[in-house]
Amino acid sequence: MTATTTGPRLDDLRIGDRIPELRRTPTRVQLFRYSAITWNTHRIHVDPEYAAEEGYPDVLVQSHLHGAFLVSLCTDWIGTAGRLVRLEVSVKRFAVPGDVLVCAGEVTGIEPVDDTQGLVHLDLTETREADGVVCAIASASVALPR
Amino acid sequence: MTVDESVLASIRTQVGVETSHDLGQITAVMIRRYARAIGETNPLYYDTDVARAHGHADIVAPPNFVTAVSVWDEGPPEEGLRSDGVPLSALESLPAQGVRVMGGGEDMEFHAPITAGTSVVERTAMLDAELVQGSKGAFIVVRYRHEFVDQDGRLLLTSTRKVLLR
Repeated sequence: MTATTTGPRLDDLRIGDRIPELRRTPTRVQLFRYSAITWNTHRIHVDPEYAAEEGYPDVLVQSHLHGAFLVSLCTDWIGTAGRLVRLEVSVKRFAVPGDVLVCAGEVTGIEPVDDTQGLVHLDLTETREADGVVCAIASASVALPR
Repeated sequence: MTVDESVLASIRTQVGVETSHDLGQITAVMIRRYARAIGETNPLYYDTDVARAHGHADIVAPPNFVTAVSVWDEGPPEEGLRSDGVPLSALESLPAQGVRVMGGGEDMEFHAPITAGTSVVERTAMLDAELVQGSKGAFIVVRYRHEFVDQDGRLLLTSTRKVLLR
């Protein structure tokens, strides 16, 4: 098949532009499968009784799964013409199955590298829709065609 | 137990010591399962023909896959897990007894896509450790660098991780 390239172009962007939101609602099944494929044996992600002992309302979304949602936010936006080159993630608050997590991003920097491409810098947030709590923040850099 | 200068000193003996682990081959089914687990539908993660049409040797791993894997081998038997499920061996370079260990964020640089069939080696080193006086008491921040390279030594991904000890 023929590859098609789609996605934003650096020269069309402005500082302050917001990228399309991505919403994820993790489930216990998702957390189990994420722990399984990453061979993560921490009980806080799969054992509700253990999570309750630690004072949490349910099992907790893995920090790398928060990160994966923010990766998808970027890669869905940049399409096949762009490339994610950097992501710095900090998880601030816990999230549990059933939380609707809204991932959003804003352009903070535009850095042409040559005539054909450049870097775009973004600030990202992952916010729980129900109460507006920010569960994770990140900064990202993507390479885009001009 | 609270963290203090003597705990910091014992951790700092590890600064700069590099360890290297052969992670083995990243297989197509590992990539597809990880993509499924994160809720991805991108065909670059599932469809070899699509990946090849975009210039890749095979399907591509979602960018943070290799940093997300906790344990690359079979891990210890259950007796080798702490009561919270963490392998005892995972914390062997840290004074884990009585100290609460938390992740403190990660900074990843993606140098090249990781495709199915790639054999990966991870090189890890402790960069530094510092004692911080927080509003809720002292804690230690330890920073590690993880480099993932392919069988030819080509850099695929660099990650700097912070671990907090309280």
